[in-house]
Amino acid sequence: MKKHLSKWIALVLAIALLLSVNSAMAESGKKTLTIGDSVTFATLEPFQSTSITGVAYNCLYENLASKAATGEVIGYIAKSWEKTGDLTYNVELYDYVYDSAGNHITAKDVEYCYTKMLGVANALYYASCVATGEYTVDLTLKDDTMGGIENPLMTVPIVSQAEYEKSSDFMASNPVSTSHYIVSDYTSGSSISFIKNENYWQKDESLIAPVSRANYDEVKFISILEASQMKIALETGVVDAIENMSSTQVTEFLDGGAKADKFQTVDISSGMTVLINLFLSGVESSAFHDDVNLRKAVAYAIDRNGVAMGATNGLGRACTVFGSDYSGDAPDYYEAEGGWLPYNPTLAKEYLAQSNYVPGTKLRLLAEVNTSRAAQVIETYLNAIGISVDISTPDSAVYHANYNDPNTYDFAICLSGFDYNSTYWYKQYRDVGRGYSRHGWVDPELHAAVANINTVQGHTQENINKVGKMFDERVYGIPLYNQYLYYTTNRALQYTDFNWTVTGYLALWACTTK
Amino acid sequence: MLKYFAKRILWMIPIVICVALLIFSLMRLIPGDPARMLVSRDATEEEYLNKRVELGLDEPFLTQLGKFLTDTFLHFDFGKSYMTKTSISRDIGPRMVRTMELGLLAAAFAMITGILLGITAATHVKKWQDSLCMIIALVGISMPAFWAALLLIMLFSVKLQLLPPSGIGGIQYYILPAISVGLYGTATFARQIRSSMLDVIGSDYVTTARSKGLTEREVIYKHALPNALIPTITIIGGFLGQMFGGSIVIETIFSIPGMGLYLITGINNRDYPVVQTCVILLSIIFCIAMLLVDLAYAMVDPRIKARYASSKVKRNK
Repeated sequence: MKKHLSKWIALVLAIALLLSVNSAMAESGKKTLTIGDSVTFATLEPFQSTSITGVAYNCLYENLASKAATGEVIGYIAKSWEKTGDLTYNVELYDYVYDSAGNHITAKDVEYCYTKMLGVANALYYASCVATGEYTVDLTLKDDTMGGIENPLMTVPIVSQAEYEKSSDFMASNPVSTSHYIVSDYTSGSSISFIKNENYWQKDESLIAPVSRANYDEVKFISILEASQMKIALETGVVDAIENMSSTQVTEFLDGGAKADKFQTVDISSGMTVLINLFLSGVESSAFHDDVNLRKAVAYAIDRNGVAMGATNGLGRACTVFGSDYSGDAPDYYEAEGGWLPYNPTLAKEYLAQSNYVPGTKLRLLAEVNTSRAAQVIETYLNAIGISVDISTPDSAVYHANYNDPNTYDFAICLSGFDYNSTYWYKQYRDVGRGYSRHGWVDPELHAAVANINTVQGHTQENINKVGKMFDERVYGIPLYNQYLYYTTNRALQYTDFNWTVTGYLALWACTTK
Repeated sequence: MLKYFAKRILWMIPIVICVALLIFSLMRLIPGDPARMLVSRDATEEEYLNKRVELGLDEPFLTQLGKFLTDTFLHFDFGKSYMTKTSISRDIGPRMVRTMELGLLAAAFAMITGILLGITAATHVKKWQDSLCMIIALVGISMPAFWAALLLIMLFSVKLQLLPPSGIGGIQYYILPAISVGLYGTATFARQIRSSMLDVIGSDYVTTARSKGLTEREVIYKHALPNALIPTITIIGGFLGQMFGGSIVIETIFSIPGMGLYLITGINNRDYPVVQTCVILLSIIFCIAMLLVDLAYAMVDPRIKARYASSKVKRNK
């Protein structure tokens, strides 16, 4: 029996070995790049309310324009644009744009795509897009907010109306776009493979944006959902690069780490702000309502360096301003004051003594699963001055529901990505139409001030400082830390230029790597 | 026999409808809102309410339920995913195939290894082989599937580099997931086969077979094993349920886009149509599996077969 058992095991292992060798041989011979991503690639439909293609988007579709590493907005399909009215821009398109099926892209297609997107997505920055000629459209913004024409130019994928309507599943599985890559294989929920578009419409090298250069024959994006599997996939050569590896996994790949000789990791935090914030609830049922002393006690009690260190294994940067340190529009007086409300447990205790807080009362702290470690560190700091905390880390759906109802928490940890502090503050502290802000604060002066700095005219350092002072006094929220973002690749992958775009960070490597 | 089969098939209809009613109601009772998941975190209340209208969630519960039952059971239309807006009928086909492939491989692994371990243990009772097999069975029952999966990945993917750690492709991608899911079944089968074999080995007919001069191999495999397998059939149905339950975790670890991953993503996003469809289909699969188990039991057990035969004879008289 033993003899037979061992024969069976040997046979199974031999078959497995042969299969894996065959697979490796089949994959060799072409210049390919494989990227691991945590996105599930559930559909490739261009007009979606949320991004479900992640970093692969950049290979999938082209917008009118995109942002270069320098922050400059570069035209893709748009040749140029100029302001023709208070909120209207006239956009001129290249007259020789074709998709991979040979459809000529004209202003009518652009109008169709922008109108289609208006019907499915919210929080868009434009009100309308109308074709005014064969290759010109008028793009009208909703209001004069920060970002101006940039966001509308970079948010809508452009496809041929005829091709989109011809597709039986609205391009969900077989998209046709103007991109420099063509989808060659797609498995919903698992992977997308691209091959180089040999007939890419833009032939003038000087006009091809860095992100539109296809330097690989094939690019494949693989969905890897389990954090530890990302590391394993990279180590075993299943993927060449990983987008945004978690802080618990990435340490070994950083300079000086155990695996730094074979892998390289690049921090792109400066290109994309991911801020972890603590928002206090202002509704009447909240402990913070009408108790500025308790709010200040909490702010001074939390060592933001400690939270950043504990929550990210040291791979985060504590906020020194009210807002993200990476955004260029923070108040500029904090440096002289030693940073925004610096850690001071003695002062925290003094404020707590003056507050209405009843010892033993548990403050309800809402957090997502991925910020639960930050919540635990915060609890420790607050316990140290005598404040009790009840942490709630529900699943994503319940978190979203509770986050939008400030009656369900006293404070909530929120992770957000954004460009401008002013835009972020505006979204959090504007009047949502019922006389109070998202987190339940009734403060007409602040509502007006954040709305003002979110306009192009009102976005001055003086106004930003004025809003900063309001936050210092009122303490409606506590910025905690910026999360570092990393891309990790094997060292065989050489890139000529590390660059980033708004829509597809790592995808760019597939384009610029030589 | 045919009447029994038809009766069982008809019983499946109210069972599946009850499952559909339950999952429809449960999804709307648990906290969380698909419209909230679809609008951005900074969306206004108006945008959120518009999304609810778009999804039909503003309609009364009974209206939604009526529409769901009509579409599902009269038009066989499972609707579209809230998140991707793609047809669920189209999406679920390949996912179901992957889960079935994984399930069948896991079942095959569990049965082959379980039977081998069970026979070895029974034929070497109270010897070291018996102890070893039962320790393996104990480990298989005690070890969570996700942990077994990670250990297997570390050994076969990272250290030996024999098998891929995740993704889909050829059969090599299914070996580690199938072993991870099937390990529990291996242990269950091994313990059941050992117990049954010990009962059977002491039977008169086995003694008779031995006295006829048959080899030990013939006695075990031709006479003892077929009868020892009969009680095992009953646990196959339960094992199939555990297998599908286990595949939810395993598909996530190995990034296999199957039914389990589809279901768990649907639950996380409160994608009602996806969850409802997955649960209904799983309930149908489970009903069919249990039916096949019962039929197989009726086929292999002469007493049950004889009961049906005798009732047929009575009717003819």
